[in-house]
Amino acid sequence: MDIPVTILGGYLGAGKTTLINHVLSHALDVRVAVLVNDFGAVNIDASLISSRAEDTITLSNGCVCCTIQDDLGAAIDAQLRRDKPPQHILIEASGVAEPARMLRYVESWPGLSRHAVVCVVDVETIRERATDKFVGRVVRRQIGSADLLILNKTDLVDAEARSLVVDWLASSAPDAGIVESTWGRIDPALVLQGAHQAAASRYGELAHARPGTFFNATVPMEEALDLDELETVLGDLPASVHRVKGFVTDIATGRTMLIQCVAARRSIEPCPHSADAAPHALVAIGTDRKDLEAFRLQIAALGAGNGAALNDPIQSGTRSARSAAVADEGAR
Amino acid sequence: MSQITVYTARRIRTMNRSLPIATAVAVRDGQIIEVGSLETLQPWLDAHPHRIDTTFRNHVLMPGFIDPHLHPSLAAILLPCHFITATEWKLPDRVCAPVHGHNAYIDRLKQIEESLTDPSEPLITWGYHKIWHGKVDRQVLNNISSTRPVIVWQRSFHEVIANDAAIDWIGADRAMMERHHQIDLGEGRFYETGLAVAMGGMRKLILDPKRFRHGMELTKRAVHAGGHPTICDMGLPMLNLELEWSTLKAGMETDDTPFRTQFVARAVERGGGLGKEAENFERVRSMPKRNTHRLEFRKAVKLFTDGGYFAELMQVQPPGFIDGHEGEWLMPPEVFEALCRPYWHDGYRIHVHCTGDLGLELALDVLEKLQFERPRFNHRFTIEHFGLSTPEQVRRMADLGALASVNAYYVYELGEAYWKRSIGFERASQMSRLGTLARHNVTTALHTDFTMAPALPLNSAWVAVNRRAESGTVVCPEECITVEQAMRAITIDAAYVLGMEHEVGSIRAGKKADFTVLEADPFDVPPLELKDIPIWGTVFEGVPAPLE
Repeated sequence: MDIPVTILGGYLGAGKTTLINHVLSHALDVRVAVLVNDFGAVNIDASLISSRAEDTITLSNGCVCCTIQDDLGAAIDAQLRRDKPPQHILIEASGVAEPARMLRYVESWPGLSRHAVVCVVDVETIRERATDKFVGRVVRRQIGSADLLILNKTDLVDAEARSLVVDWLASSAPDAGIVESTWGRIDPALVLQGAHQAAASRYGELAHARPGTFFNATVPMEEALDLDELETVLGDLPASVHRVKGFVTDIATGRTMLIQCVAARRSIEPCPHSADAAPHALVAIGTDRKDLEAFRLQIAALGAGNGAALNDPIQSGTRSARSAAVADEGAR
Repeated sequence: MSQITVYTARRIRTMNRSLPIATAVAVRDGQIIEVGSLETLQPWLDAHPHRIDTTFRNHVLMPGFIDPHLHPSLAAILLPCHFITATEWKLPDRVCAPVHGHNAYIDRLKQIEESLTDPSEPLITWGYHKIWHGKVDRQVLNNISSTRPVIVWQRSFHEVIANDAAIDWIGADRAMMERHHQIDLGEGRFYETGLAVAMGGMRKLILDPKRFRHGMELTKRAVHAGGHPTICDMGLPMLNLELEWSTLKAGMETDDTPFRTQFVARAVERGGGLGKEAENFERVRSMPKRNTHRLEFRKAVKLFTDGGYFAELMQVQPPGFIDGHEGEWLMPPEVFEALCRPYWHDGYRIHVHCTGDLGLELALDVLEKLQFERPRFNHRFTIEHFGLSTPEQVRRMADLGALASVNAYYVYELGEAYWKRSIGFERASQMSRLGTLARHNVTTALHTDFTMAPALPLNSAWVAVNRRAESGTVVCPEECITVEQAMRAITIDAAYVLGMEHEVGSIRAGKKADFTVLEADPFDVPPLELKDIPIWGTVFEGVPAPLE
């Protein structure tokens, strides 16, 4: 199966590297290769590093971080040639990269497939950047081509300024999901295609990471169902639901299907290793509990017997006092 | 001390305005002792042993031509390939006549194939362009040979076309190539990421050390054939510093090398560079430790703003490109500024690759900022390439003290193509805006960026003076410059851009005895014949070096 690739874009200073540091510092259940432009700013807790070479840092959690050094093709090739190739590749785009151009490059690379284009946005400076005479156009295209926008540094502005930016982003990129964060602290599952285990198990880790205002819902999918009907539901997800993933059984063929949604992008593909895919469930990640519950109800309404309510299916990551306050102010 | 040699000539164009024309020049130990006539030289000749050399009695001597921006390493990769090009390429070992039309292209390719004695030797040809040569695909190339790998490398380097034997020779997994979105095995086309797959296979040939050394030898001859005793490798390293430096030293620091090379180090070797300004600065500062007699780093650095001009990736101000595509920044503006700063404050010459007018705008904004922080006179901040610009930007360059090193060949090869397909007539016709630079007294050099253009200074001068596009159309005569201005741009003004005007660039007492020996006087021939003036050879540090 192709290795999913996430392109992490955003202008210089938006917080891409901080976000990468955050993601790499977690025990992830997938082997991730992170390709960065430059090691200089990557700052991983020394206790997590198992070895360090000129252009590769290997982490005890199985992930690696490598420098691109002007040759993305060679960097990708090196990953594909590893004895144990990564299960996901996260590529940091340069601050002035054309995401669409980079995506074309990655999508056409044999053995890779597009997972998502994520753009980190600095809430303080983005409006100014977007009109800058040199980089305004590229910044606007970075936003416009993203599946998911991570509005970073939200602790540096007041609620009004933040909501102005959110409104502007929503109108600039109507199809993109918007997630707020401070210090790039997001649930890694938002940007990575995890294995099938419920994200819930990962939240034990995230408890230490103050992930911000995310909730996840695990929706049991033990019964086979009609994929067209499922797709209708997935095609109409509330804006606050940023990520859905998991396994279901196709009623027409009996096959196990892998479901992947990042904001407006979705894929439903046969799962190559069905045995690994039990128990069947969909994990949805979003910023609004009510919307997640509505999603579960929609699945239940398909009538296949899925989507049973659990005792407390919706869990939240531990939040910092500030991000909790933000959530209470009704951020999307 | 050695004997003085006096070279007499039909005419000596000194490019020194105080003594523009002479007939004799006295040389000793590689240095010019005096220029004038045999009569005016007499006090020196009376006092010192000398001999009169009349080899050049029918020739015209000019100061040694200078190309202030080319890339020997790239040339060394390309020159061993077979050239089939739409425009004429005069190379040291061959002259490639322009080939127009599909049949002519195929005939030429057949001819090359038949001339190869080793039946397994891969044939790589460079210069193909669909506009001029029609459609070439795998089947067409299979008809050239079913057994020899034949690879057609496109003019802009962005695509290769291969026959079946070449697809096998490239050696990549066939199933993978069939799946690849940017490889069309049916047509034998490899482009964008597909090109990387093809290059992966071609690398074993084109970067083979023996071939690379041979390529460097051809590069050396091309530099000599252009009439250059001085060139500048504007941006080392290209790929790999140690490989390039060792090959350059082995090839170009030899007794038979009739030219010197100044190297300008790249401010960023690889990767991003922000946060590593100090490290990069130290690396650049340590480069002169490598200097030898002919190969020399000075206090200069190379930076980039926007993308390539032939690849249409320059950053263009509104209204942009006709098709709405976007150019590229090679580094974020903040990084560019941060990289410039330590060099500015330490008194470096800063050379900035700018191809589009928005790239130029960035360079000028940063220059203005640095001037405000720490005013400098005589800083020689140089705009390299200078594809697109506005007249107002030229005025600003003059105000800020910036210099220009211009690729005039753009006008010849791209003037009409960009008019019709890229940015329209008004802006395309004014590319390489030389006339405006001259009107604002901006010191200007001409370069070739070899292999982007043939390393022939007289050819560059010919384009600058006549602005004839490839079809013969005159493109914006208002931006033509005079023969005098063009000749300065390949001699004394090019020397100035490289900070070498006290050593080379004109013929006067005290300078290095570097001459370009011509069969005709560029100031006498009709301007349209400038590029056709035969070159006898050069004199490098007093030693004649005739062309073979």
